[in-house]
Formats: sequence, structure tokens, C-alpha cells
Amino acid sequence: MSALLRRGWVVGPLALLAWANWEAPALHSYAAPIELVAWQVPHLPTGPAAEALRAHLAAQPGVRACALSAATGTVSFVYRPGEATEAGLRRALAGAGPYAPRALPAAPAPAPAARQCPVPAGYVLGLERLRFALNLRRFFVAV
Amino acid sequence: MKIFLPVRKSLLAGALLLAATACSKSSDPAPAPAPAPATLYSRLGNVDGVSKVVDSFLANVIAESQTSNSSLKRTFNPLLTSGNAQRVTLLRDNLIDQIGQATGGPLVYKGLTMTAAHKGMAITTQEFGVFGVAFTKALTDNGVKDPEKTELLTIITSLQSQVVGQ
Repeated sequence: MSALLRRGWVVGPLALLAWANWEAPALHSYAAPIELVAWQVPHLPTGPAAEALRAHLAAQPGVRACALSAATGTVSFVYRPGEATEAGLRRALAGAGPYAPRALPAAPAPAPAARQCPVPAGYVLGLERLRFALNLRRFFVAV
Repeated sequence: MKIFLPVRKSLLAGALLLAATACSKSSDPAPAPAPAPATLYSRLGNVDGVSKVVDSFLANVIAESQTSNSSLKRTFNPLLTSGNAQRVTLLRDNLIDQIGQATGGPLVYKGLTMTAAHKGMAITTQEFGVFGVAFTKALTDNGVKDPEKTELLTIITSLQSQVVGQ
């Protein structure tokens, strides 16, 4: 007992390590984080020209996915924040043709119809990242 | 007698060894086990391939849900409106985990069941169909071959009863 009290400082980190390693990591933790951005872009092409533009934009460094819809006049990007920036994507879009991106019209979030988790999503994501960083099991999984 | 006993024992051991060697040589070697067929998860490109498909799907949803009569708007707009970027990340994470497990990946999905996750949303069959179109487009944009596309869409379609009408 006295030995445990003398070494009480070990209990906290060991508990943290046990919590982090209790379960196997989640698959999504191995995927790089992403950010999304969408703009309103008038006069988008249709048909094969639209697909060519989409493929050109999707091939930009750091872009994971790109979608464009002439019907809605919207271009959306999913990109890796460390490898691409919004400004860079704007330049890529402007360089691909006469496309001037504008911010999407603000849409107020409707009141939730059902009970929502009271914990902010950012806290949940932060705890997940901490758990993955301390999870030693991840070194034994081939993804 | 004492001199001949070790000799007899060694002769017996040698004979047994010879017999064992002859048996092993005379029998056919066991055929090598057939390699396990590649899982759909590995054919999609493992975690990178699955996450690219999910990212394309999210980009398609954002692009398509901007019209007022979009079938995706009602269900996805609460996530896509400003201030909910992290909830979109949570959706992305859950989709990657779920598709990863359903296609034979090494890790388990730990989120809500489809019924619990969609409870109260009153998803219609038409909305589920439009979701399927956006997902199919995501697979096409990422060059997923037809057999894998069919296999994955079959898995997605099997969830319809758990999603629609909850």
C-alpha cells in the first residue's frame, strides 16, 4: 500500500493507457483528416466538359474529391488541410476557366427534430484523436 | 549379451528411422493451400480507397443538396449548414468504419445500428434511392470496377429496410 502511495503518480498515466488500449482502434483513425468547402459557381459546363473539369480539379494536389453540379451551380471540394488550401482551390478553379466562386447562401440550421448529443462534436473528435495516439494496438493492425 | 544390447537398440532405431523416411518419401506432399480470395475491402484499396469513396460521396451530397427541391437536402442539410463541420466529420468517420467492416476490413464499426441512427428521420424510399445514386457516382468517380461496385451496392441496398421509414 505504501509502495502504491509512493508511486501514485503512475496510476494516472496507466489508467490513461488502459483506456486508450481497451478497444481496437477505429478504421477511420487511419484515414487522413479532411476539410470541406463548397462554392457557388455560375456557368458551369455540362456533359463531358463537366466531367473533364471535375477530373482536372480532383487531380489538384491535396484534393481528395471534387463534385460539381451545373444544375445547382455548385462546386464542392474535400481536401487535406495540410496539402491544399481554400485559396489554392480558388486559384485552381479560376485557372480552369471563367469560373468565379462565391460563397454559398447562408442557410440557417433547422431546429433538431430529435434529441441531440449534448457533447460538442469537437470534444468527441479530440478524445478520439487522443485515444488513437495512445493506442498501441494500432501498430499490430494492417489496414 | 551386454555388448550386443546397445547394438540391437541402435539397429532398431536406425530401422525405424529408415522406415519413417521411406514413408514420408513415398507419400505425396500435401498440396499448398489455396490463397484466400481478396476481400472487397482490399479490392477497393483498403482504408485509402474506402475513405476516397466516402469523401467523393460527401462532395456529391454537398453539390446536389443546394437546390430547394433536392431529395438530399432534408436529410443532409442539418449536417451541412455552417457550424456543423465536425458533425460532417463524424458522419464521414462512421461511414468509413461501417463500409470497412461490411467489406471485410480488419476493424469493427462501433457506431449506432442503422435503425437507431436513422430513428425519427422518416427517410423515404425515394430519398434512399437518391442516396444510392450519389454513392454510385462516388464509386464511378474513383474508378471502382463494376464487380466491386455491384458487390458494394448490394451491401448498401441490404440496409434499406433498416434506414427507410424509421
